[in-house]
Amino acid sequence: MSRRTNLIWGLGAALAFTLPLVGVNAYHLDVLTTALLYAILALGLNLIVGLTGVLHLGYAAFFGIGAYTYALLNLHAGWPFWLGWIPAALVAGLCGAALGLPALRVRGDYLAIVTLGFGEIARIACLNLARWTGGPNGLLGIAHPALAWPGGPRLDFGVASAPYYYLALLAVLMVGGLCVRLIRSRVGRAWAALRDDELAAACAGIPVLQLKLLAQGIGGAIAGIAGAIFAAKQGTITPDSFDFILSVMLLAMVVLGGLGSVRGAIIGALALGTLPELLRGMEQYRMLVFGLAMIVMMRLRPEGFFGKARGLTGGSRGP
Amino acid sequence: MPQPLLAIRELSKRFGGVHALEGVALDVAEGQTAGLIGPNGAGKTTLFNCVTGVLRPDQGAIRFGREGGEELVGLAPHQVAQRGIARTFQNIRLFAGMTALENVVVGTYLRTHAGLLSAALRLPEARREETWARERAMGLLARVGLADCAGQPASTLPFGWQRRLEIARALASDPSLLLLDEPAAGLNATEKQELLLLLRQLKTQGLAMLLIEHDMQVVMGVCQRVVVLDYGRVIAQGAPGEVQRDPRVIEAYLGAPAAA
Ligand SMILES: Nc1ncnc2c1ncn2[C@@H]1O[C@H](COP(=O)(O)OP(=O)(O)O)[C@@H](O)[C@H]1O
Ligand SMILES: [Mg+2]
Repeated sequence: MSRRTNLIWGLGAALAFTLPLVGVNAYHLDVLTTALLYAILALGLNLIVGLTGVLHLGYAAFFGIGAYTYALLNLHAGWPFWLGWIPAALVAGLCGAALGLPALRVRGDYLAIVTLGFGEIARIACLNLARWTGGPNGLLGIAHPALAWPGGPRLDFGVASAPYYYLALLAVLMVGGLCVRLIRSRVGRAWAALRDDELAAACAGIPVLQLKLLAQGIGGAIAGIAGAIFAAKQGTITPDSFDFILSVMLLAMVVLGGLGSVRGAIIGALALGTLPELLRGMEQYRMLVFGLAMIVMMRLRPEGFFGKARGLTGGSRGP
Repeated sequence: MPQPLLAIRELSKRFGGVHALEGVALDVAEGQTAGLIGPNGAGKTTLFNCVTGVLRPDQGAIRFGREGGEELVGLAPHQVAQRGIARTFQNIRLFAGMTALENVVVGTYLRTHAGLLSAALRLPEARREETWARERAMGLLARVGLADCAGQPASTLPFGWQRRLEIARALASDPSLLLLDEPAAGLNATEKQELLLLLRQLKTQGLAMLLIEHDMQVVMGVCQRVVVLDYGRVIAQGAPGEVQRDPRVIEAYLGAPAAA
């Protein structure tokens, strides 16, 4: 990244950090926190779609898996958030890699069915495993995070808005930084190579399946982190927070921002995450405007704001 | 004959009713440059695809390596590459979204080791390795005469340069056998001379090569031995001069005037 883009990101982050201090009200902070959680999710989904070409229609399930993992560990074993997000990421990541195996074997319509089916099965399983998940009522009383210094002051996040906003902001910066580093590494270059030409990449010694599963796993783990933050913030989770509509929204964010682009994923998520609030006056037309915006975008700039020109259809030729 | 590095026996591959390869036997000795010629559709590219794990042969054995070697049939392409075989493609297959330099850096994948963790933490080893890979790639670009276009998108390079870039990418993995699929196709006379020079250099360094080529000047200029395929069968083999005078070879080419 050039100096200038570094500067722009630095300024953007600094501005974001000062927002709660300049009197942005709690409601707006909550909206922004949600948009930031979308940004984390979009970053993870971007790894899956942008790097392995799997157009995932059930990604919200990993978000849910992360949320329930943290919630269950917290409720049954008393794990605090600061530890609980780690198994949440691991479990969601394992699920991501496990689903990758069947997802990478099918294409087109079948792929849509496999991923969409996975998302719905996860949600319905959650509804029916009431003994563990509380069924449609969900899980209540998940502990909010707290920061405590030994013998010093203690900050309970509670139901305040600003702490979660900062937590989500920090998570976006860290996950975004991680994605940039991965994409620019040896493994990231291999991902780009197999997206350009899978056969040529394989003949250069790149283990195609292994790297694709890795991307799917990391994508799942990132959603798991977002899920743990969400559960810690809400204190209550129910299966309908992780439904198909969310998966589609996330996909729209990634496509809007530009597949494979880290800043695209973040900006796409912030734009679409706050848009519904900006359009609040026209409640019943919100989804309509949203849909129109997507169609116009696909006509004018199908590669997204920051994507390279290849997009969804770019990819591999046969032998 | 010295011990073979690559030993192919009884290799057969069919596509529906087409026998692309039928009972082919072929050896490449260590450090040897062998030519594989034959009219279009003879099965040359199919043989490369079978060796590199892109296609699975219906029958036959492909052994590679010293002291009898290891069976390659059943390995995936990346596993074959790990064993030390690199290739180029008849229809150039570069990574179109990358620069020339990045294409060659991808070729160093097997010679580098940085994993996710060292990338995420940007450990010094990972950075050193990255510098090493770039320097190596620059060196290879210079070798094939492309040092000046390191930063250019691979897809914008002229055709002949793309062919050379593919060779540089293949060399980046430091292979012990290089498979070249019609490297001179589409090159002008000067470019062919440059290619010949490069191939001779590689030969001097002891790299074993198997070269598919229609241009007899290139074949004669670098190959110690030539194998001729026609309709999936080996119809002749031997020193380039002998093979060229072999009546069966002349007939095969005259029977298929499309081949240059
Ligand atoms: N993937 C494939 N599917 C079907 N037929 C193929 C395939 N690859 C090659 N062939 C056929 O096999 C025969 C040999 O092709 P090929 O190996 O490309 O020949 P060469 O490289 O010697 O010109 C041809 O008849 C070709 O049409
Ligand atoms: Mg061919």
